[in-house]
Amino acid sequence: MKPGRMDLIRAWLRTFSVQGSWNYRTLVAPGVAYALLPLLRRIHEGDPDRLESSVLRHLDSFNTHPYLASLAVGALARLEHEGASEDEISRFRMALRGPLGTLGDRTVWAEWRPFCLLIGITLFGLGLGALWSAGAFLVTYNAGHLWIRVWGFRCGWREGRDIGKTLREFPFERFTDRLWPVTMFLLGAATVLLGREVLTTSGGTGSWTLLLVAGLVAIPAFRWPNRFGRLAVGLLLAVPVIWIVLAIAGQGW
Amino acid sequence: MPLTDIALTPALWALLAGIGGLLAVDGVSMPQVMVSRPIVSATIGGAILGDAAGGMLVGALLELLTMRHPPYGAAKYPDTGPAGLIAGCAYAASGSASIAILVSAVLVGWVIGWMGAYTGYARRLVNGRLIGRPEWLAARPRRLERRHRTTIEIDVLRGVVLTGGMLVPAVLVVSIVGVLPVGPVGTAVGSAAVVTALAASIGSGARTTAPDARAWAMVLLGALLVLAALWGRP
Amino acid sequence: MALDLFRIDERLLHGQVIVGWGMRLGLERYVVVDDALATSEWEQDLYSAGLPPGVSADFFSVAEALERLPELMELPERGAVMTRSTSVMRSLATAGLLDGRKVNVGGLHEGPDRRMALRYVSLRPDEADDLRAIQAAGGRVSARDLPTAREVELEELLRAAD
Repeated sequence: MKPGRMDLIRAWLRTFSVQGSWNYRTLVAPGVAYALLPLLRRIHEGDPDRLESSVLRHLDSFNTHPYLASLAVGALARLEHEGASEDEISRFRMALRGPLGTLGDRTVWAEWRPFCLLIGITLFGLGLGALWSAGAFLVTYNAGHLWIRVWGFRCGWREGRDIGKTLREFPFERFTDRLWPVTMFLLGAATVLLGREVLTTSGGTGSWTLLLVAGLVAIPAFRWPNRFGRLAVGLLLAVPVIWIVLAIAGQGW
Repeated sequence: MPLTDIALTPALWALLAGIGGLLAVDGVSMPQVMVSRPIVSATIGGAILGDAAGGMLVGALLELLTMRHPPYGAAKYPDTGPAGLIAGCAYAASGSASIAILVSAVLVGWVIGWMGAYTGYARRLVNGRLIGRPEWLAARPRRLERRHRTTIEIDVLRGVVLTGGMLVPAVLVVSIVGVLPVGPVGTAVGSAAVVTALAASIGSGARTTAPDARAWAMVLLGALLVLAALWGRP
Repeated sequence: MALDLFRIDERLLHGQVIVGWGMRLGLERYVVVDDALATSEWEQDLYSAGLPPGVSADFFSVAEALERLPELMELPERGAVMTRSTSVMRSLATAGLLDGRKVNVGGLHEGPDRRMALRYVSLRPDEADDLRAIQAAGGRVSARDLPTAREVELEELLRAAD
């Protein structure tokens, strides 16, 4: 039977939890199978054996970015509904896991999220209230997030195995590909604004010169990201130790 | 002399632990709307204890420190939901703004973030057990549904325990560092370290975000423009 | 085409390859050699969907690859040749295309009759033979999932799979 509107909505809502059962052997497969279930139950209604074999193949290792899981669920349900063969579905899953992982990682984790976070931080640094700034981040970010989930599910369900063509033109990618200069600009701006907040908190000690000197540190950090990332944490860890030593020295430094 | 101005009643403690559970589960399991990011979680923590702006400041610093750990597939990355919440609380609980409190709150958040990463890793290993017999699950799909929901409940529980367990120690640590007699030299060293750490972490964060070295020019442009706009102001 | 990477990986074009290797080596073109994929348009679309802008993929059957690879090697682009089985890579090697080239084993996962050598490489006896044959034909076979990981030479790999 063809899944109805309610079945589709239930499956879509379930995609929000696909990573819950994430594990090192089959990755996100059980979560995707969980989201597919309302649809598989309808498609294989009255045929428990086919339902069982269908659930079993979807429990086989699978990978996707969590937001694009909605696309996988839509498309896999379409193939099941059309009665695609076991072999075809397994080839489809195999081919789909690559792009859904890389596209999502690139567009969401590497571009969209940092961009939205920096919007929030910059607004805060410019004097907008903390709750408003955090709210602005959540609203902006989730507008993109929900768009991907809805778009993915609809396209997947509509196009089934031909989803590759649409995915090659993933509209969100064309959008985020242009974002990086803005993100980088905001990164610089937000850091200076935060530095200013830090200096204000410390009662005005230090100066703008300090910020400039610190800026120089960021240049080699760009070349050796991991080393300098650790250095950042190390510096912070060292500070309380220095304070304790100064306190013990007791000179009122 | 009381360390904090805030009385941590059992009800408040339970409320925060509960919120910690919800923030933890957002990180990986559900619904991933990013309330688990430190700029949100630390702001919530700060707001509950009366200092949303302080919480946000701690959260923003944590955000830049953790930027170089994107949540790709099987990688381990800081779990910033409970960590941010606790760090924001600890900062706000201390009741006064100083560089010592800021630094220690950020550090506490960083440590708890990694505790979250490792407990999250352990949970994923448990998931492998819970969901590891495909034939058994497929024979009765209800089993799959139950097991899948159980994995999420475990994640909530993990967040509740982590937050409930670490909240009081974190507040104490931050408050104790807060009463250290830090003089002008200590304050200068502290602010210099924070600002330099900030710069070091943005450099490394930028690399994981942007495609190439042209990115660096944009970072510099943003920083210089803001510097120019603010030059000479307090 | 300056072929910088010959890789055997069941998953073909996925994140590890495209981001881990591709962005690091600056690859502009992937040549996937696989008889089934060469005739399946929907699969080609899917596998290409994760490629960054400006990067392309060709899908050749083994016969087409033997014919066209020598001419592609003349182009200035940087590229990679991908197969999902050891046997296809072996066909390229026996045709003399891999002489003096490095052949990277990147992902052959657990399955029936396969013995695990590394976390990401499990081998059947016939697959181990394929790798020996590639080596004998002048290819230098080693395993490595990511450019940042340790390179495991063929000898050590086969010993681990024994």
